[in-house]
Amino acid sequence: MPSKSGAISFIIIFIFFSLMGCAEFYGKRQSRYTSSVVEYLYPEKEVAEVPAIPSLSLPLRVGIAFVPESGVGPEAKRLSEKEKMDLMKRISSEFRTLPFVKDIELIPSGYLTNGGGFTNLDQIRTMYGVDVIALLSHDQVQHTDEGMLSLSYWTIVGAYIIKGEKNDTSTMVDAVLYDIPSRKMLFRAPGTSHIKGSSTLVNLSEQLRADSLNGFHLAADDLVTNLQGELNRFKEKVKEMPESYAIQHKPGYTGGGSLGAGYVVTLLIFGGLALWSGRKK
Amino acid sequence: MVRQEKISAQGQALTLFIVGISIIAYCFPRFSDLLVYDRQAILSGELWRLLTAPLVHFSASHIFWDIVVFGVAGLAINAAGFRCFWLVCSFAAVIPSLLFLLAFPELERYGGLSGLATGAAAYFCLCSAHKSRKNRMIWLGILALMGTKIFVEATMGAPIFVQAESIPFRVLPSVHILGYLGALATIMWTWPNITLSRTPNSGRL
Repeated sequence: MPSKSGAISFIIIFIFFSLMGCAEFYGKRQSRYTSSVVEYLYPEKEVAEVPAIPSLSLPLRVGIAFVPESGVGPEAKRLSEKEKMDLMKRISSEFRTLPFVKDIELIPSGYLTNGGGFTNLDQIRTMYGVDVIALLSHDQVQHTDEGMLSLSYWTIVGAYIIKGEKNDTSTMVDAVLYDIPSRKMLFRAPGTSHIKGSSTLVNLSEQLRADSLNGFHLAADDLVTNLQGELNRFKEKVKEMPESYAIQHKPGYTGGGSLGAGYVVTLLIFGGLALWSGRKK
Repeated sequence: MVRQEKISAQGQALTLFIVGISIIAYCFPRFSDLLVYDRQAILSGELWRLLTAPLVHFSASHIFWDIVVFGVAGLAINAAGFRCFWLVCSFAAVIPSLLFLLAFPELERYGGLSGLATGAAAYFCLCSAHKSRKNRMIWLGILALMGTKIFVEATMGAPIFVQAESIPFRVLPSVHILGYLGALATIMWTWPNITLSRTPNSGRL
C-alpha cells in the first residue's frame, strides 16, 4: 500500500511534467516576407533593358500593382488580395490629387506573374491602357522573443492571459514608378514602419498577423508622405531636364481660346475699312 | 482734358502691360507655370491663376494672333477715349476661369488672351457704333459677324478658322462667348457715357 505522502508526490510530479508538455519553449523566432521589383523585372540577371527617353502624355493613366512575392514566408502571413487592394487604394489617393493623373487602375496580383518582367508589364498596359505603373514591393521581418513573463506559462492559465511574447515587426513598402513603353524608372519612394508589441502565447499567431497588417498600413502612410516629396522633386527634374523627359498633352486636358489667322485678318480688314471710311467722311 | 488723357494713357499702359506679360510668360515656361489656370493649384489656394490664366499661351501662333487682336483693339479703344476698358478685361479674364472651375472639372489647364481679345474687339465695335452714326451699320455688321462665328463654333463644338489637329490644346468657344458678353455688359454699364468726354471728334481716332 503506498503511503499518503507518496501519492501526493506522484500527483505533483505528474502535474509538473504535464505543464512542461503544455508550455512549449520557442526561443527566438524570425519570419521574413518579401517581394522584389528587381527580381520581377529582371529575372535573368545578365539581361537588362536599356531605357529610352520617356514620352509622358498628360494626363497620365497610372496603374498600381504589388509585384509577386519572392521570399519564403509562412503562407498564413501573406497579404490577402483584399488587404493588398486596401493598401493600393490608400497609396492611390496620393496620385488622385495630381493634376496630371487622369485615372488610377488598381491591378490585382493575379495579373502579375513571377519574373514576368517588362513583357508582363506590356500585357498589363494593353489590358488596362495604363502608361505608367507604380510597382509596390515590400520587405517585412518579424521577430518574436520570450520575456520574463513567459515563466507564467508554467501555469496553464498564464499562457492564456499573460503577455509573455515580445514581437517586433519591421516593414518597408517601396513604390517604383516606371514608364512602361520606355522602360524608364521615373522615381521611387519608400515607406517604413516599426512596431513593437506583446502577446500571450495562445494569441501569438493572431497578434503577429495583426502587427504585420498594421505594419503595412503604417508603412503605406509613410510612403504616401514620402511620395509627395518625391513627386515634387520629379516635377522639378522634368522642368530642369527637358532633354530627358518628353512631355505631351492629350486633347481635352488643356484648353484655350484660339482666334486663327483667317479670322484675325478678316476682322482687321473690316475694322480698318470702317475706320478709314469714318475718317474719309 | 488732362484727366481724359491720363485715363487714356492708363488704358494704353494696361494693354501694353498685358501684351508684355503674355510675351514674357511665353518665353519663360517656369513663369508661365505660375500663371496658367491649373485646376488643382487653384483648388489648393493659388487663386491668382483665375485672373492670370489669359496671359499664358500654348503655341507661337496662339500667342501671336491673340496679341495682335487684343493689342490693336486695346490701343484703338484707348485712343478713341472709350471708358471702362479695364472692366472688359476683368470680365473676360475672371468669368471664364470661374466657369471652368465650377462647371468643367475635366479641364485641368486653360490659357489664352482670345477671350479678352474678343471682348476688346466687340467693345470697340459697340462703342464705335454708338458714337458714329454714319458707320454704325458697318460696326454692327462686324459685331454680327463676330457673334455668328462664335455661335457657329459653339454649336459645332469646333473652331472655324483653326484646324483643331494643328493646335496642342482643345479650343473653348465659351471663352469667346464670355468675352463678347463682357463687352455687352460693360457698354450697358457705361451707357450712355461711353467716352471720357464729349468732344466733336471723340468717335474718331
